[in-house]
Amino acid sequence: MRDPQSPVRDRALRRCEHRRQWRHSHILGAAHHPIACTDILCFGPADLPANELPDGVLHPRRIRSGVVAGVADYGNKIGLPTVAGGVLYDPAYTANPLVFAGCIGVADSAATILTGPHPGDRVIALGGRTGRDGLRGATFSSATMDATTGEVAGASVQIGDPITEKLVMDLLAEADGLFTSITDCGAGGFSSAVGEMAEGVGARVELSTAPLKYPGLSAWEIWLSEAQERMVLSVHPSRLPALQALCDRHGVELTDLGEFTGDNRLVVTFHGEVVLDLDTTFLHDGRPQRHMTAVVTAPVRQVTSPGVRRVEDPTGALLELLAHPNIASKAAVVHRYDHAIRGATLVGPLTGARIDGHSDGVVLVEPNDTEGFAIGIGVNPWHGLHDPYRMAFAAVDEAIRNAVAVGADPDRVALLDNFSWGDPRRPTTLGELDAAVDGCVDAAHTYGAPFVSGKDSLNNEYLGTDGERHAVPPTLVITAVAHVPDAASVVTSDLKQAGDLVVLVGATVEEFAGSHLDKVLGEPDVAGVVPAPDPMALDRFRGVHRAMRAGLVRACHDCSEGGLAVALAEMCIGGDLGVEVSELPHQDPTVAWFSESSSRLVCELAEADLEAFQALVPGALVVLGRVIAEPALSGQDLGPVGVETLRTVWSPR
Amino acid sequence: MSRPISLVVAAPGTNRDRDVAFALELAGAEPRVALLGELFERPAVLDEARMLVVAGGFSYADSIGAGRLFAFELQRALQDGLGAFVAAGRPVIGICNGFQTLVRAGLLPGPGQRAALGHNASGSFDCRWVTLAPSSQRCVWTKDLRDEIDCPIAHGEGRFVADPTTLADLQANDQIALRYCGATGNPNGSVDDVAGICDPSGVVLGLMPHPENHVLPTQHPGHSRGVAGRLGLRLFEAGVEHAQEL
Repeated sequence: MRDPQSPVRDRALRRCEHRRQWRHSHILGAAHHPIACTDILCFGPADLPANELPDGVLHPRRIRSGVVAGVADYGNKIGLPTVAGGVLYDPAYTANPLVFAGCIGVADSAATILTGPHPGDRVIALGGRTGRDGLRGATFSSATMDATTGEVAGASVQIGDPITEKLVMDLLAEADGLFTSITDCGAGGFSSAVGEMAEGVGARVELSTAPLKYPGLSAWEIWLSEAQERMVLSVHPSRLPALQALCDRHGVELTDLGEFTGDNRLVVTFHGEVVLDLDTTFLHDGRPQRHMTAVVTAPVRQVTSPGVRRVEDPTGALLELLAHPNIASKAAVVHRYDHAIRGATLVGPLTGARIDGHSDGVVLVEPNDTEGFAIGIGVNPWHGLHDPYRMAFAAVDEAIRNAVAVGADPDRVALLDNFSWGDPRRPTTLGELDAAVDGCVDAAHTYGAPFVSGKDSLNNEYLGTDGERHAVPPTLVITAVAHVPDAASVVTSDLKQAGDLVVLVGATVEEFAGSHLDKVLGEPDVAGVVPAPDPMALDRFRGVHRAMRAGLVRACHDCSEGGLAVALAEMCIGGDLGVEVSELPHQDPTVAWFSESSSRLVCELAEADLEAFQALVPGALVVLGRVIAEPALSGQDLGPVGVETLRTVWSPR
Repeated sequence: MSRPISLVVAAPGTNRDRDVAFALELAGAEPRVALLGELFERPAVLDEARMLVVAGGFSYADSIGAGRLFAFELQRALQDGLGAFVAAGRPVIGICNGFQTLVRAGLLPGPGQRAALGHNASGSFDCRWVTLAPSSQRCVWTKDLRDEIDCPIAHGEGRFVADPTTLADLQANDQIALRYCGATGNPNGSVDDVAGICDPSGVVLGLMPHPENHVLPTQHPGHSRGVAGRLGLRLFEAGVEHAQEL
C-alpha cells in the first residue's frame, strides 16, 4: 500500500492524457494478464431537441449508438468480458461525451519482477504498425472543442485493431522472463514510451526501422503517432530469439528499434541523421513547475430549511425516478457486450428471476476457483456540482459498497480514480478538482483502501458559437476492485424468498443536493447538502461482510440515486417479489424514501437470522418490513404499486 | 476410459478456445489447442486427434465475412484431412464463429444443402442466456441428451437461414440438432428456432450458443437464487463418449 496523498494529487493536477482510449495496453504495460473490461459512458440526453444541439455536435443518440457499437466491437473481439459500467445522461455531456473504458488484469505473484531496462537491452516494438492515426491525440483530447473540431481532428483519433491487441495479449501471456520492462504506446506514442523507459538509462532509436502502415511518414510523425496496439519492451539480446519465435507463432510483428545505452541520453535518428538528442534527466525533471491558482468555494454543509421538499405523491415520484435514464434499466447496453466469455463471471451485470435485475457489483471467479474479486463503481457528478469533496468521498463509498454488496471483503479493496474535468486554468474549476482530490485522499485513509491506478482528463469544454464555454460537470469515476474470499457466499440484489425481513443498515438523513429526486421534481431554491461521509461506514461494511460469510444475507442492494424507494423497487424487479414496508428510517417520508445518504445497504434476511445479523452489524439498523409473494411494493404514502408496473417504467421503450 | 485427444483449432481472433478446452477437460477429453499456423506446419496433428473443435471468436476480425477466412485457411491447412476425419466418423464441433466457419467450409449442412448465418434480426451483437432443446437422434452430440441446455449466446451473426428446400431436407433428415426454446425464446430470428445443425452423417455439429460457458453450476446467473441450470457440459460429454467408442 502506498500513501495515496501525493501521487493522487500529482496525477489529478497533471494535465492531459486521453479520455477516449482503451486501457488494455496499460494492463499489458504493467505485465499483467487482462481478464475483464469496464465501461462508464456519459452522454447528452437522448431526447435532446434538435434545435438545442450546439453547432458541430452530433446528437447524443448518434454518439451513444456509435460509442456503444465501438465498445462492443473492440471489447467483444479481444475476448474479454465487459462486466461492469454505467451510463449517465446530462445536458452538459452533449458536446463533451465521456467514455471511461477500463481493464482489469491479474499478475502471477511468482512472475518475474521487471527490473529493466538495463544498458545493452534492445528497444523492441511489438504489435501494430505505425500510421498517421492518433497524431496529437493527447493534446487533442485535452483541448477545448468547438464547432470545427470534427473537421480538423479526424487524424487525432486512433484506428483500433482488436485482433492485433488480442494476439499481443496472447503472446505476452507466454513471454514471462523474456523482457526486462514493458510500456504501452499511449499518449505521445514512441516518444513517451521510449522516453519514459529511458529515464536514467538513455536510449538510441532509429525511426526508419519502425514498420509503417503506409509509406511517407516523417520522423516526427513516427515518433509521436499514437497508433494503437503497440508495445515497447526492453529485451536482453540473448532473449531476443525466443521472443522472436513467440511472435512468429502468434503472428505478431517484432521490430528492433535500437538500444538502451546507459549514457543517459535519448537520441533519435532517422536514416542515420540525429533528429533528437536530449539528456534524460532534463527530459524527466527539467520542466519548470507550473503554478496555478485554485479557489475553493465553501460548500453548504448545514440543512438550513429542513423539510423543504414535500413529495405529495411518492408513488408517482418513484415511477418518474425509475423512468429517469440514469436509473432506468441499462440492459439494452449490457446485452451488446459479451459478459459471459472466460466463464468466470460468477455475479454478472444482470441478475434475478428473469436475469433482468441490475447487480450492484460483479464478481469474477476463475472456473473451479473458490475465491475471486468483485468490481464496484461509484460515480455521481451531480453531487460534485454542489460539493466536490463530498462527491469524491461518496463515490469511494459507493464503489466499495457495491463490491461489498456482492460479497467482497471491505478490508481488501484497491481503488482507481478517473477524473474528467473542465479547464483548470479557471480557479474555481481547479478548486473543485482540489477539493475532490482531498475527498479521495480522506476516503482512501478512512477505508484503508489504496489508490493503485487512475487517469485524468482536463479541459473537457466546448466553446459554443455563442461564445460561452460549456464544461462537463466534475466527473469522478471510482472503481473498487476487492477480494471475494468465498465464491460460495456471494450475494445478489434480487429478492429471494417471501416472508423474509428487509432491513436497512446505515443512517438516513436529509441529504438531497444533487439528488435524482430534484432531477425529476425540480430543485428547490435551497438545495441542501450532499451526502456526508459516515464514520461508521467501514465497520458496517465489515459487519455485513461477516454476515454474508455466515450465510445470513439472502439479497443485498445499495441505496444510491433515487434513495431507498428506488433500491427496494429494483430488488422487487430482480426477484419478481413484493415488499411491504412497515417502518421508515426517517420521520419525514420524503427523506425516508428519496434521500441519497451514503453508506447504506438494504439486506434481505430470514426472520430467524435477524438477531445473529444484529450481533454482527454495528450501528443504525431499521427493519423496514417483509418480502411478500404478491409482486407489489407498498409502504407509508407509497403504493401498493405492482412490480410489473415498476418493471415497465424502468425498462426504456 | 482413455481421454480422447481433442484438437481445438484457433485462428487469429479466436477467443473462446480456452473456454472450450476447459469444458472438454471436464468432459473427459484431452484438449490440445492448436493455432492455425501450427496446423500448417504439422497437419498430421489432426491424425492424432479423435475430435475436432473449431472454437468461437472473431477469426481474422470477421473482416470479409464471419468465418470466411478461417474456413479458407482451415481447408488450406488440412486439405483432404478434414473430409477424411469426418468420413472416419470422428466428431467435429464448431461453436459460434466455428459454426460459421464450418458452414463456409462446406462441412455443414451437407451436400446439396444451402444455409447461412445472417445478422441477428435485432441488427446487433447480443449476449444473453438462452435455453436449447436437443432435437436430433441423428446427431452423435445430441442423441443421448435427456435435458435441455441453458447457456449464453454471444454473437452478431447467428440468424440461421436456409432456403425452403434445404430446411425441409434438414427437418426430414433429422439434422436440426438444437432449437431455441423456453421463456427466453429465439434470440436472433433463426428460421424454425434453429440453434444448431448437424451434417447428414451426424458427426459434425455446428451451433451458435456457447455450452462451454455453462459447464459448472456457478456459471448460471440464477445460481445465487438456487436455480439449477441445465449444464452445457452434457453436450461435450456426449461428444467425448462418442469419440471414446470409435
